[in-house]
Amino acid sequence: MPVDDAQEQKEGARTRAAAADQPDADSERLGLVINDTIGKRLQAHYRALADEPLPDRFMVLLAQLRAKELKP
Amino acid sequence: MTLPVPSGLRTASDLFRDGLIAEMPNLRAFAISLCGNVHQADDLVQDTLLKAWSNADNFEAGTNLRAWLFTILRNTYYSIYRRRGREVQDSDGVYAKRIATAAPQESAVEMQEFRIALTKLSEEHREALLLVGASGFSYEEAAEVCGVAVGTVKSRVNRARAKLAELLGIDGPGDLGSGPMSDAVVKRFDSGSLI
Repeated sequence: MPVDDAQEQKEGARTRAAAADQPDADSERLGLVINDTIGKRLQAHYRALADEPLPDRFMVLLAQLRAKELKP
Repeated sequence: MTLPVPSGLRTASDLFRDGLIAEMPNLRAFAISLCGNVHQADDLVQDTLLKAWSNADNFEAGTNLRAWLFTILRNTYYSIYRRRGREVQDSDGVYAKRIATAAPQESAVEMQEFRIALTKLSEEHREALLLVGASGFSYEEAAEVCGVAVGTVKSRVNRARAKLAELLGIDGPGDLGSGPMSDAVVKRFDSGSLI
């Protein structure tokens, strides 16, 4: 998998920036409060997507790949 | 190269395939949430499946298949898809429509609001929130998938939550339920299994 060097460098810089910016105890506490509502909505959003029927083409692809593999 | 096996016995290839199939709904939900476009997300999942199959030899059986697949999907997205530009951003409204119809009527508006708010986060905040809060990864696993430090993931999740709270107007105890449910959520947060 090719890794974008520029992206990696950016990430490194962000990592350092993030480490210098940890939330204090009060905002952490508020975070827990917010989490309840946000977390539930996030999971409802995600579940709705994951529960959708999958497009046929995924299974078609796997069947094709498998057929190719079994060919002598 | 593949020897015939007695029926009822699963080969390593069968097991790998079963694993891919089991992860498809989760991969797709993540892909749609990340790119905000159903057609692009389906292409992305298809590419991920193809790459996973071609690189199956690099996957160590018994290790975390989900994390391996999400890493492939994410790298594919950032190296190819994002460069295609954002002009295809749900141009046909398929994503919006599906979300709206998938939810029970009374929460459809809330879901729609949430979806829009989610698209307003930066990609790195959005993906961190999704991985930890919905896709079922620990902070450590999410850090590995994203190739960053655990502290960075925590910080991104916190910022994503703060931004969503701001966008959705959730700003304090007024929007809170209390009681066993909230306590349970807080406990799960402490153990790292929830955002």
